[in-house]
Amino acid sequence: MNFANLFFIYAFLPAVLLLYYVIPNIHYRNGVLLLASLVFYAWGSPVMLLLLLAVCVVNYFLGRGIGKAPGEKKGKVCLVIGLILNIGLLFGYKYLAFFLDTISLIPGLHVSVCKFAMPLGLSFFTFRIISYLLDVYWEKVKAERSFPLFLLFVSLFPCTVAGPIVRYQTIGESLRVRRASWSDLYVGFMRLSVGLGKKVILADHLYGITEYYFSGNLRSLTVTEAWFALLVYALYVYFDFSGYSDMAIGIARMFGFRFEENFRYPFVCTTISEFWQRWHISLGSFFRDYLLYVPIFGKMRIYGGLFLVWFSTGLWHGASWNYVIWGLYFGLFILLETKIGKKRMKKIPKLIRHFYTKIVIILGFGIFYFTDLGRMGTFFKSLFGLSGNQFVDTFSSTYMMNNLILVLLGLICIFPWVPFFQKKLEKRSWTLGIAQCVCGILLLALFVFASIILVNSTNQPFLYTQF
Amino acid sequence: MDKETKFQTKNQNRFLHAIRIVIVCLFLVVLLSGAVLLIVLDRPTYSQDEKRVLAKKPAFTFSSLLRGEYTEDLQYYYNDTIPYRSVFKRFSDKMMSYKGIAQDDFYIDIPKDLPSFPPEESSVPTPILPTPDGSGSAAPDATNVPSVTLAPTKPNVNEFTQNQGIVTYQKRAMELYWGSKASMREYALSLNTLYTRKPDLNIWSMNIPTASAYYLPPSLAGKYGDQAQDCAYIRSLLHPDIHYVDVYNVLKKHTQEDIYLRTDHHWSYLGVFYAVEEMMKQGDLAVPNLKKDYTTKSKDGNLGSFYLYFDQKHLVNYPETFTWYEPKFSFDAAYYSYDTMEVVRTSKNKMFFYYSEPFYDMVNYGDSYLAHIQTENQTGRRLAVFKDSFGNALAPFLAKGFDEIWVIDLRYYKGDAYAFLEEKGITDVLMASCMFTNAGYKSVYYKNLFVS
Repeated sequence: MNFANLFFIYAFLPAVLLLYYVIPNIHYRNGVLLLASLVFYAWGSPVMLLLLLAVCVVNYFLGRGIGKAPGEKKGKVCLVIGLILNIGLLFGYKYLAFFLDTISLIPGLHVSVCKFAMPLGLSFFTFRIISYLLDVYWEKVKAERSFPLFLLFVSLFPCTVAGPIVRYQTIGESLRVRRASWSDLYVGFMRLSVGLGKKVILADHLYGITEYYFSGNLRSLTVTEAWFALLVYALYVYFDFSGYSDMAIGIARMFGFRFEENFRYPFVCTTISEFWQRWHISLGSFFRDYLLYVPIFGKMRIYGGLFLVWFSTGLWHGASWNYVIWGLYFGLFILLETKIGKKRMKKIPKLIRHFYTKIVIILGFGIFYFTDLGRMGTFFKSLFGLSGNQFVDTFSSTYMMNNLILVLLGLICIFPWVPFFQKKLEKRSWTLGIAQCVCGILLLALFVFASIILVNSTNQPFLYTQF
Repeated sequence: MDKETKFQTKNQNRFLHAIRIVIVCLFLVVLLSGAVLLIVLDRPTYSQDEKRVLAKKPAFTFSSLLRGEYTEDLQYYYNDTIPYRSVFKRFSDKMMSYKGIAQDDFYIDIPKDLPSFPPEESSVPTPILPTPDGSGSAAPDATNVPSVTLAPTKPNVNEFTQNQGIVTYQKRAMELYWGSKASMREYALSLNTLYTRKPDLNIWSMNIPTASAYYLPPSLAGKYGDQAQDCAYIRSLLHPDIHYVDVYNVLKKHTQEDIYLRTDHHWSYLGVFYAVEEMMKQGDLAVPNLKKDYTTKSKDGNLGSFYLYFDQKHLVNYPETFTWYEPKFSFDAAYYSYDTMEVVRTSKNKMFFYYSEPFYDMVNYGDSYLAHIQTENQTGRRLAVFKDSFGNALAPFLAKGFDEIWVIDLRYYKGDAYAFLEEKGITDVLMASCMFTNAGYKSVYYKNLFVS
């Protein structure tokens, strides 16, 4: 099950909201949420629920073990076991086949392994558990004593499947004490509508354009088409991912949980470092807080730490070398900016900084998309006109025009209009009131409109080749 | 802060709070009423637009639950059978049609994964005249037929995608065309073989161009196959005794009229009329008169195959008026199953059924059955039409001049064509198919019927 789905919006969510608010007691409310989360997780694959439960049981006891002796030997042992188990689980399901395929490239060595279906949200919940164990060890939080609450923390349905990587620090207290006010419901519905609109109206249709270009003959792309495709893909990834995060944050807010922001208008950045402080913030902060300062590189710790973080960032996104290259690509630019220094970077004219960051980001998405390095090479050749391809032709200009308004809408929506207008309107509460009213109605209309578009999601045009 | 300011701030906060409550309530109303209506309202079981049966409610079993199939199927059933699905689909297509700018309503849908073209032709040309053993011949005696090399017939390979994409221009959708010379030769070989084996028959070749022959945007002129040239090429390959109906040039005189459907890949019934009129004049047969012999009917707001099956969503903004012509004269119709060759339906004085989209398919149940029309004419002429879907619409006009008409889809007919012609006492054979068939891999259907 995913959020951008009529069944979720008009069957699952109303049922959970109704049950949740009918019950006044927080413990029973948590019970409803826990049940809903387990049903959500087990929806397409009930067997994987057993894995999730097993992971939770083990980590619950490990957490308790760490909590009883943080910083001491017993705590350390529990932590190490926890890290090995969780990283091992992630490695086994997600990276083992990739690792063995890479080894098999060595002449004379051929190893293969059965690929198992990856449990839903594995990359997210293992990271949440790892952050929990480390936070308990570093005494940032106390170990959760209640297993049901720990299970709820791990399986909470708004963030299980596709993030954000919510830490126990963020919601630990809310598990026990929370009240969802009318404001929470208001903000929740607003975020859900925005997220749904981003996903259904923008991301899904931008994806169609992306696939039109990227799945075909890359040599036939004109230069203009290649750049257009790359731009559209960058927009698609942003709206898809941030849209989902918005929905997750909104739905959690409806139940009184306040997740931290995961995307903060990343395309307004003027440096690559700033981009990564605005893009998938929960992942970036995870690696910054738990990996950057791992003391294994000695004197080379700055470079080593950066390498480790960006190698891991890339690899986290997928078991393929292009993701690793993508991560290291950004790591290189961050290292470059670190060497230049913040002050000197600020002296570079803003326009140039904007141009530099957008080019780097967009080119980065070209690396991100192509898991086949050969096709990646072909694409980049077309991008820079090295395939003997034309700069533009009738087809490319017509197709781009046929999708221009959608792309322009996407480009407009990447800017922080909401915080901008909010600041202006907050000066007078009557303007804020009207804005809230208008905004609310518009987002309600957006919600209904996105729902109508979702009706088309199972559309199967009869591919009529006989005539 | 003084008392008055505090009071004002408190009232303002209450005002903001009240607005939030109202907005939340509106959302809850939408959510909950949507939830209830989607349970209470009847769910559709068939999509006419997509021509498919919609998802069925899954049966519960523990094993399917454990495999996750039950829940996935339930979710899919829920999402697939939304009440008023077609209405919502068209609304969302209409909204999404504003996602771009289309000067002259110019839209492009050309797959980027097409193999390179023009297609590589076989270096060994298909012969176009048969020898007794069917293997091909040297230069024929007949004039205007080019010489050929001795070689066995090479089967057509679908080595390229004929449909080079779809463009919409000035509210008309059309497929971009490319033809294969090898396929055209195969088509000609089939007709020439029929002529050789049954020289007593009147054989007609009706090569029907598609809309892109006349209506391509200027920027695409010359970039794709030339249907006029290909029609002329086929004509040059045919035995001179085979009657050629020059549909291309006939329709060229009427391009300002609605001779092609705009949202469907077929020609209109008016275009069909002009083609049949030409054929009947050539054959000294009774020429149908639209006003005297037919009742004109029309329906507005229709969308054809390009919208329904080819997923050209922007066409939702350009629905067209569909016009058809129902015969005033009497006839009997019988419809045979291609599998059993038995009559499954009959009709008296009615050839038009299925008054729903896509309207082109309404005549004689489209491609579904082999049709037999018996008129009150006594000309002694019995016609067999071997056709693709472009030939579906000919029967109502042909019925004016022939005693009997057999309409046979060359893709679905499994019997012995020669035996059929013999058994039914056929005097005239019409090959009526569009250029995609005559100049593409589907020409093999003609070969299978008349050469093999």
